[in-house]
Amino acid sequence: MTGPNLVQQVDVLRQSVEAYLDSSRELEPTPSFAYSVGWFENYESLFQGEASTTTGIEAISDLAISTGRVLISGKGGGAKTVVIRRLMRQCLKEKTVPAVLDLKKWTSLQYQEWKTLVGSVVRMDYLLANLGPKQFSVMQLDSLPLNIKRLIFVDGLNEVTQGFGQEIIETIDEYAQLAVLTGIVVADRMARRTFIDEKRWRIASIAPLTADEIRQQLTHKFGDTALFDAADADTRALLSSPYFLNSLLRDGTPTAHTSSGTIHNYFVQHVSLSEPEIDVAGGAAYFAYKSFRSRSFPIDDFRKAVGNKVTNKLIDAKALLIAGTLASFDHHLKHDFLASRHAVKVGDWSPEVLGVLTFDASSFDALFMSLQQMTSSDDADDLIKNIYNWNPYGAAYALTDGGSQGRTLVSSEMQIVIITMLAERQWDLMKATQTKAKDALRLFPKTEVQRFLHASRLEELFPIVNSVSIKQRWFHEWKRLFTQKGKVAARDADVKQILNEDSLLGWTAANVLKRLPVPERSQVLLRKLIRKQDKTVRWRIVHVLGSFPTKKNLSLLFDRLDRDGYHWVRYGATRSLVEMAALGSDQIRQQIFAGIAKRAKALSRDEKSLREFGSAILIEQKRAPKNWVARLAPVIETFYNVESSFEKREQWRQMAFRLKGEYESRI
Amino acid sequence: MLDGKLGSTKVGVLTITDEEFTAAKRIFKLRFNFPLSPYFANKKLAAGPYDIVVRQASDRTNTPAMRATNAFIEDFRPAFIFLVGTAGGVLKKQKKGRDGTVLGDVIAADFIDYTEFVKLHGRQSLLRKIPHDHPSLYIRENIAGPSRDSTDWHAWIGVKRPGRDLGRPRVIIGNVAAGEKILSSPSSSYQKDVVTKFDKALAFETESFGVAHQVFCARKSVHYNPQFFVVRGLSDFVNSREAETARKNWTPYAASAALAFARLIIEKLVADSSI
Repeated sequence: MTGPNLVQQVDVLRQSVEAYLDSSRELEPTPSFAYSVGWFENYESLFQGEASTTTGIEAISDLAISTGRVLISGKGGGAKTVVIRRLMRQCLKEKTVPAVLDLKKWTSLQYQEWKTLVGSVVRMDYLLANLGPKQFSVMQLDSLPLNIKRLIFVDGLNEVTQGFGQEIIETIDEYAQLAVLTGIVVADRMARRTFIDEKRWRIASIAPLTADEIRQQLTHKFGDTALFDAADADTRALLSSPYFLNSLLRDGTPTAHTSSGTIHNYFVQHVSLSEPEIDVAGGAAYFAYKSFRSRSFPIDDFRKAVGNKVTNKLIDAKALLIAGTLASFDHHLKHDFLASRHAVKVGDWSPEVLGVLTFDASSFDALFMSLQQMTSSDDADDLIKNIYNWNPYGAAYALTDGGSQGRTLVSSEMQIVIITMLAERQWDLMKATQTKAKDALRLFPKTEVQRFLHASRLEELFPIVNSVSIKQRWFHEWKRLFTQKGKVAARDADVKQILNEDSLLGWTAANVLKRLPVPERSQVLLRKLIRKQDKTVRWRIVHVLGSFPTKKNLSLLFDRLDRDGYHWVRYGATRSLVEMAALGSDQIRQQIFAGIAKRAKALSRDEKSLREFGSAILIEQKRAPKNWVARLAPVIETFYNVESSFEKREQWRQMAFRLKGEYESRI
Repeated sequence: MLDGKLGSTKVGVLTITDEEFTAAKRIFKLRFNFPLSPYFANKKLAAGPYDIVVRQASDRTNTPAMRATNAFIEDFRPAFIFLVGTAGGVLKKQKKGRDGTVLGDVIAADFIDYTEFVKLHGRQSLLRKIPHDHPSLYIRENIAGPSRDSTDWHAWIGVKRPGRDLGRPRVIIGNVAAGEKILSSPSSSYQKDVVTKFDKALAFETESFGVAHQVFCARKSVHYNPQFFVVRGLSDFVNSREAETARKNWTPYAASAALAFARLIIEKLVADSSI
């Protein structure tokens, strides 16, 4: 079919994309930079920075069409959006229709609507209708003539919360399988996603700008390269980020040693905000994240909070872009900086605040910028502890992302502690935890983590920890606590460390107790404490008890799963129940799985706990009991039966098959 | 024809077990394996669509069949998808099954039932439905049906018929029922219930629902209208006490018979340049 209507349709679609691009030209650096793209075999090689080949950016479109799906993974400011826009413009010159899903436009309302949608076509239609030029729909893209290729660009998967990001990628993945002549390009932060079939994805990362390219751009703008030649390594590293080089060339922002310092310079020098004005804007930026869980927010609310003067300065400087009643910053790093500035000022690093800053652990730029703004080593260490307490992997990102490595006041002892505690997770019972820990470790420079990654068991970490030269006094106590393993029962004092307000010692105690014999009287104490203690301590206690499969612990875990108001405690209880089922007798195993089956309906409404159950049951094969699949089968069947939609049922069926495949030899 | 990620083919053939795939390689003369993939063709083409591409699913049952079909569609966009292999018949009397079938006969499916989706309600087991396609009317009416009496395909079987029976395989068109359990126990109450409930099914197996459902799910484009067909050779009677022994003895022959008849249909499809 290539009638005049279809030809017209193609033109309408292409024109709408052109208009979309032209309406936000300021997002594209002028003059444009020369980019190259590294291609990676898998996530492991991506995290280690080991590209198998390097190409120009045009290979992204070619590969997306020929293989179906390309993921561009990279840090904030790495030009993912710029490259996507350039590829879209290239499509317009060729016989390809580009479509874009700009996740920066995602709003809190859409979180609610999304939940009601079932099926990949319906969800894809929703994304097309809400996040790009309005003209697109699945049916329309499909009905285009067969001599027209379609390329769908998904910009900023990290702009939405982690759970929704995963659901969006599942939708796209399913759509890509069957969409005719269609390629998908997704831009995401440097974090592992789960795909239907990982082999179907090509993983790319935009390489930092080369020194030659930076020099060429500086010469073009300033007539020489003196600025680059005189810069220290930190500043040079920042200039290799397209965002910061562009900020210098276009806005005249002096590049500082850190990203937060440079963005601060931008607001002071380019936008002409005073320090108090930046604080006010910071507050409004934070509350926009908190209220809307989105990069877009109502301009009227923002104006009300910061006043006309500051709002107008931001709009005039093109830092704030307006689309109808909504506004967003031209780059999320600016919004992240302002939100982090507010968080630093308030000094509240509760899990709720960290969740707001990161879109529930989806985007960590605000965290490393917070860390960069700490003015003492103690404060920086405290922040890292709080981040670890909330999300261990977040601590790794905060320490390494955005050029933070070595440019914060975090003590070397604290860095070793974080690395060591992540390294211990390599031997976790659950495979997903092992993978995430290794991914996080690979974010650090190889020289710093190689020993940890090469260790084959926990005890091999002890000499590394013991060899650290110590300046911080607290490290002695942490080291004593962490390096315990063996048959000697946990001391009462160490059991009580689980109550420690210092999250690092509290979680270290919880992890250590899991590997020591804990006498029944101490377990009685832990079970009693759970009724009184704060939510984090409750989480630690359910974490510990998973290692001690007894009827009393089992009933306490079920009690928490049924009644605890804090979702992380229920999550921890779910995980510990699975652990207990793996470690305990067959009788305990049967009781646990029968108990979970009984709660299948309630669990299917507790998203976090349910997702953790699905992930936790995939334990390390060699540690799985022989009847693991046989005992799990009735639970899976119950979850299958309580779901009413075919799609959700299908997920459980796929899970059953996966379990069979992974543990079959042990049946 | 549409292009998939690896190329395009007019016909895609899916087999499940090793015996079936071995027979497929011989009968379709598959010599070329697409690099790093489960796909085979009789020779490598420099360009242009293949006539036939064959692959084996990673395992038995509907979920692997569903995945294999999905991958097949993404990689080659076959216009026609065939599931070919063995199945169990239902013994009626005097060594004959429903509709007079005997071991080695070939069932060409006209309808697929999924036996597993039930609601257990009190003592009742109530059937529930999941949408899926049914075997292509076009293939049945225009090719498989008219070819039923042909003996041209017998020579391609290439495997000795077990036992003393010198009979020749027949082609019967009828219902096929697919579940998740291999039925092989005459005393099992579950099996009795299923066999009774699906009283018109000539063959029971564990994959055709997966293929049928995935073909249904693949109908998302105005440009793609896949037709699928199921051909099953009877290797045993599920309600016979000798089911296990019969399956062991008859599988190579039944698989080869099914593939030989499938080849006859496929060659006619391929020869028709209007399709």
